[in-house]
Amino acid sequence: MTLRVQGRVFRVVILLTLALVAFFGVIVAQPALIGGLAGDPSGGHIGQHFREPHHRIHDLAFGLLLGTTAIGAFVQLRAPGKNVAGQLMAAIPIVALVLAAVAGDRRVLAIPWVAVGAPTIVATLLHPDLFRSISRIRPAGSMVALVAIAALPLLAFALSNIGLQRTGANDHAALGHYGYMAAYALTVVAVGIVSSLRLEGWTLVARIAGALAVFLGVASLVFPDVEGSVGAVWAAATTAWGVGYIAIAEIVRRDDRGVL
Amino acid sequence: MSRDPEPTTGTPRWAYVTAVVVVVLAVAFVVMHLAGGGLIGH
Repeated sequence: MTLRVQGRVFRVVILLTLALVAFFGVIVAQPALIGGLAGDPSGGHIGQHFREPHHRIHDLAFGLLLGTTAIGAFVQLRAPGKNVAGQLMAAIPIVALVLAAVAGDRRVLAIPWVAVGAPTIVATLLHPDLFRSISRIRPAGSMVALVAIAALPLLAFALSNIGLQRTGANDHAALGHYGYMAAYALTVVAVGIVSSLRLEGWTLVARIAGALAVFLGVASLVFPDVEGSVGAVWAAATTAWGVGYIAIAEIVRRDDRGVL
Repeated sequence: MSRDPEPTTGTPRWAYVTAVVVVVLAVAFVVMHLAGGGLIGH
């Protein structure tokens, strides 16, 4: 396929991805609208999302997973060649959710992320500059080391949630929420790895990796008794890691530009 | 006089095949899910 044709197809797929994100965002914000389209039972069910206190951390995690995908897709609207890392970042939550569904159970599967995920994966595969950029990775040692430090506890957290998803009999497991938490932990690690490779557009990706960790930590501190909280000690550690990762990435970025 | 060929992206064939498979699987999932009980039951 020629560069020009693939570029146009890629742009259409990105617009479709963002339209689907907006569609599901409207449904969550205004569930009454879907009641008229899909029937009252569906509308009533959707109306519970993001509104039940005991699902707060799980809902936040799911929103941030799709938010990460949306940001990665959004930056492709302007100069995809300068945002290759952003496109990989967009695909990571989807791949993580697929892994969580495979390792957990089918209850993790949900229409919103499957519908948004398909065009995201297609866009990644059709990105006009992805395959040419892979040979230009420049791993930053300090960032790789920080990701390695976080990887062990986050992978343990992911495995723990996969276990809960497989064996859980409560409403969290029924809604696939433990799978979402496992995917979230995997996403923090994978987005960190992608940013540390310093492909084009890596600075935004590094900030998102740090921010995802900070969100999990702060949510755990604000809602310590809600399912999904990592506890006060790990929340502090997660928050500190996130802030530290963003700071180290900034130092690497300045070093790149010869500021330091 | 022949024109210069347009530049290509270097995307491998397996990427196009995978993209098609992903779309087919996603559409099948959404259709089956909606046919089996609307948006409830995720």
